[in-house]
Order: sequence, then structure tokens, then C-alpha cells
Amino acid sequence: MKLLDVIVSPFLPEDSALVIFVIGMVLTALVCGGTAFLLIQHFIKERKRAEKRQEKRVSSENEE
Amino acid sequence: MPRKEAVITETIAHLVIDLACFFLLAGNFTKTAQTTLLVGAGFMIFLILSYGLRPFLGVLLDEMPLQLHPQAVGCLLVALACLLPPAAAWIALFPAAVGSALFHVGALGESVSFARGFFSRNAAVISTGIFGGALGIFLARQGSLSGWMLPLLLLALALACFFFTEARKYPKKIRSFRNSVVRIFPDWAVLGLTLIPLFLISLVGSLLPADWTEGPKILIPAALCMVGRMAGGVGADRFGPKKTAAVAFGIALLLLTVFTHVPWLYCIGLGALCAPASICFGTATAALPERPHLAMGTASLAILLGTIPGFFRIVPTTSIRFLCAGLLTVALAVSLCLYTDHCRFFHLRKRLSQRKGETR
Repeated sequence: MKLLDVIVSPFLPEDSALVIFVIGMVLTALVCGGTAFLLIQHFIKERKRAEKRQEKRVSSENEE
Repeated sequence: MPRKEAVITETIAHLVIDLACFFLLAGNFTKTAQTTLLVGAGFMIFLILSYGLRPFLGVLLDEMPLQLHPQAVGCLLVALACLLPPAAAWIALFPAAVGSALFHVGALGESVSFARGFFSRNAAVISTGIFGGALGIFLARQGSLSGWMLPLLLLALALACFFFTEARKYPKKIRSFRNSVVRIFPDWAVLGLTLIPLFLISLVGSLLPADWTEGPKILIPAALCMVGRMAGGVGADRFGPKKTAAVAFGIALLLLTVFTHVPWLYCIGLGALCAPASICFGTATAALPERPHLAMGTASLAILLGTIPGFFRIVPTTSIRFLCAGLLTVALAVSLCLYTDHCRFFHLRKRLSQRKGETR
């Protein structure tokens, strides 16, 4: 706690807990953004894979 | 190793991990923190780290060609946090949060991967968490747990997880929960609609007034939440996820908004509120069939987002009942739109009877 007080005291010496709450909110926003990025990336990859599969199917049907 | 042993090990380990983390938080912070606000801040940072790391650890576990034993490593990290002195409460928070995140992602990912569409298998592992946390807080207030007991117990569980849980044999695609959700929705919509009830369950749980926090009373709602989650899983297997979620949200809506003055009915309402969570965890894998750990991490993140407003107490107490009624109605509507009446238990029984008929 001493270490945290040292980090936090220059910003808000009276109530360090408020600063921790702000840090918490920033962390939550970062985590949500990161997860959204991971999910969007995953779904884009899946879509591309599905498109490729579809193309292959169409081309094989045309050949037949 | 047979699945039964893995499920039992993970269920017990989940209880002990959450017990240890909350014992550590409640014990250390109340001893060292100067204000109650600082205690709340400590709990919040732990929850953000523990729940927020899960999607990222989930991606790592899904991407890794060789599965390590995240459950065992998680137990060891929490044991390490327990060995630190109470004065180092803020330092102990980090290994505890990382260990808890690693264990939860590993255990939940494994439980849904091998559940074969049975919500009850997955629910068994999920259910013990809340009770473990409440027991940890209760024991920390009583001060009735010796310093070496938890680390030793966690060490034993780490070994059990190492031997009994199934590493390296994960199925490539988990399709078993796909029948539980309506097929017209694309995967991203299924994930979004699955996360909405989870977020709302957590939000309602954090907004509701917690009068039962003194002494052993804290264990009663926690035990009912555990029973509720288990019942949610069993009910979804027997009657289908749609009916189970609808009944559970209906009961919760009635008991948590109308019968708030009757404590035992209120506690049953809390149990009913927790029941659809087991279904949501299962159906999250229907949206991300190749990434079960990421699915579990994202579902956990939805729970975290629901708990955050509870720390600030923004809503006035007079309007909480109306707000909760509205939120539960939305959760009920989403569940009715998303889930199907697919019943795993009767489906398998029908298949078995067909096979018997063929052999005759």
C-alpha cells in the first residue's frame, strides 16, 4: 500500500482510492477495446474462410 | 483420464481458488487498508484484472499448439499469493488475479469443450465459484483459517488438476451447443445475444441491495446461487435452454422485484437469477466453436462489465426495483429470441431407444 501511496500521492494526496477507481475504469475500457478487436479480427477471418469455401464450391460445380 | 474425475477436480478447485482469492482480499485489505473506499478499490482492481485478462489468456490458450495445464498453473499462482504477508496486499493481488484468470479460462474452456452439449457438466464447474467467494469472505472475517492451510490445499489441487484434466486432446470444433441456439443468427449475433443476459444478470446482482452480508448469513444467498446455476444446467438438459431460461428469469423477476421484503423468497430469486448463466456459458461456445477459451473469456468480461456499476452505487435505492424489473424483462426477451427447445437429455434417450430397436 505504501508503494501505491507513493505512486498516487502526487496526483491526489487526499484520497488515493479515487485515483484507483479512475485507473480501474481506464483498465476496463482498455480490456473491452482489446477484446472487441480480438473478436472482430476472428469474425473477419471466419468470413474470409467462408467466402473461400464458397468460391471453391462454385468453381467445382462449374467444372462438373 | 475419465471426464468424471476432471469435472470433480475442477469443481472443487474452482471453489477453493475463489475461496482463497476472496479470503486473501477480505483478510489482507481489511487489515491494511485505511478506508473502506480503499478496500472497495482493491476488490475492484482484482476483479478487473482477474476478469479482464481472461479473453487475452483465452486467445493464448486457443492459439497454443500444445495445451499447457492452465488450471494447475493458476492454482500455483494463487498459492504463491497466499504465502505473501498481509502487508503486501497490493502485491499479492497480482499473482492472485493472474492465477485466478488462468484457472477460470482453462477450467471453463475445458469443461465446455468436453461437455458434449450437456449444460449440466459445464454448470457443475461454473456453479461453485460464487459460494467459494462468499465462504472466503466469511472465513476472513472469522479469521479461522491457518496460514499454511490454503497454500497446501492449492498445491494438492494443482497436482490433481495436472493429473486429471485433459490437456492436448481438445476437439477442433465444438458444435455440440449449436442446436441450443436459433440457427438464423450469424455467429457474431449469437455471441452478442448470449452476452446480453450474462451482463444483465451480473448488473442486476450488483445493483440489488446486499443486506445479507453479516456473519454466516452471507453463505445463504451464495449457496442458493450455486444451486441455481447447477439447476440451470440440469434444467437446460432436461427441458431445453429456452424453457429453463424463461422460467428462471420469470421467477427472478417476480421474487426480486415484488417479494423483496421476504428474505427467503428474495434468496430463492437470487438463485433463479443465476440459473441462466450456465446456459449462457454453453451457448457462447456455439458462437466461437473453434475458440472455447476466448468464448469463456468474453463471457467473463460481460460479467465484469455488469459488476462495475455496483461499485459506484449510481442508481438511487428507490428506483432499483423498477430498473431491475426492466433489465430482467430485457434478459427474458433476449433469451426467448435466442434459445431453442432442443433437449439434449431426451435427444440422447431417443437415439438410444432407436439403437435398441435396431438391434432387436
